[in-house]
Amino acid sequence: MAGTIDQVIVSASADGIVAVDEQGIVRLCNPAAAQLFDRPARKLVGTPFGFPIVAGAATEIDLMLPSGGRRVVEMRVTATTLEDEPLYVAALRDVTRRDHVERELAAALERQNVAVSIAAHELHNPLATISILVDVLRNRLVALAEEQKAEIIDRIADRTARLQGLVRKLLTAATIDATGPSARLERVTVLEVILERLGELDKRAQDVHLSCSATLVALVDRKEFSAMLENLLDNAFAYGRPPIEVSARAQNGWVRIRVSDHGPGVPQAFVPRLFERFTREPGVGQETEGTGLGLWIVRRLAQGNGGETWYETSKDGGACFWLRLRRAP
Amino acid sequence: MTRYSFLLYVAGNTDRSKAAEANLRFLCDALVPGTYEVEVIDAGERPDLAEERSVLATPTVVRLAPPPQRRVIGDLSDHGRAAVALGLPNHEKLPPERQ
Repeated sequence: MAGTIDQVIVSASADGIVAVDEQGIVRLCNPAAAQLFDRPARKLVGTPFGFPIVAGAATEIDLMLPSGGRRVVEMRVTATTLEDEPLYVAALRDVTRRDHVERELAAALERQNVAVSIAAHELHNPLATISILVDVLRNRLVALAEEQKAEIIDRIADRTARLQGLVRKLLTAATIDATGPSARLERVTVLEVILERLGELDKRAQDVHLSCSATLVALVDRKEFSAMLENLLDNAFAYGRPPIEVSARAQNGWVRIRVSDHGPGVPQAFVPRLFERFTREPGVGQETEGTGLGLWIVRRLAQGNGGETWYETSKDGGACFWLRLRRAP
Repeated sequence: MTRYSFLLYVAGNTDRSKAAEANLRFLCDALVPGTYEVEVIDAGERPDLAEERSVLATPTVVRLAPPPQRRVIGDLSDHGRAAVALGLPNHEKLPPERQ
């Protein structure tokens, strides 16, 4: 993220400079100005640009390009003297680029704001629950049977696991933002990683039906493969309905993994935005936990590892997500 | 009596173009009433005419008469400085600017 903002600032500061005398004749210009005018600097020097007048801080003007096209620039003017002669310096900034830069910056800030508010919201609910449950355990006035105590502790463990999952998701997203997927490709036995993930699901693992050859090997970053599966499974449990079917097959040079559920599927209108960041299907209730980060993470990691992920509606109407990774030779 | 003649180069019928023309006519009506002419050229439609006078940007006003030629870039909304740059007489008589 920091890198993006630095780039934005650097590119925004490369203004075209045109210095004119009192007659409005160009005395000198910099390469950025030559680029803006689409003319070599030697052709600009000596031509009558005009005496630049700006009311207020800046004004917009259209540059006439040799091609017949136009370029809108923002002009600021400062006055100075060169060898005792007055010199007027017009600083020209490409508005098209400025607008682009502003949009980039706004989007970067928006992403951060959204990330912070989602994190705060999603962290708040489980923490509040844990806090209440701990109070119940501590309260000596309430006599709890051993069975009830055990149930409360299970619920605390469950909430804690969810929080850990959420923090992992936020960290993965932050890492992708900062450095992109690491994609340290290695030979990874697909079934091993799937089983590791199912192990993390505890009781919910019994709702997963698995089909995968023990000899299937993918060429992928192991940690990132694990994160992809985690997010696909989380997504299936959060928005779909069990049983969840996970199957992995070899096909030509690829490993194709399919994660499908028996829920209502994704509304057709939402499918194009499914893998975008911070998007959630509007019909999904507020009570469903979710950051809108999971599928975005899956796509970024899949592509970073030379693979792809996509969505299909399964034959019986549930959601079906595909993950394609390189197969190890 | 000195006659003033101006060419105003604009690009399309935009707010910027309209503001430049309105400001130029306002200045002329205030300072040289009845003794001026303004020709507006859309450089987008006639790039050849813009090229002919090496117009690099719009809005540009070229004062053709009286000599010497002068040219100013911008929408002329700073009336005082625009009047000075265009060499219009009595510019000190302009009403004070709103800003």
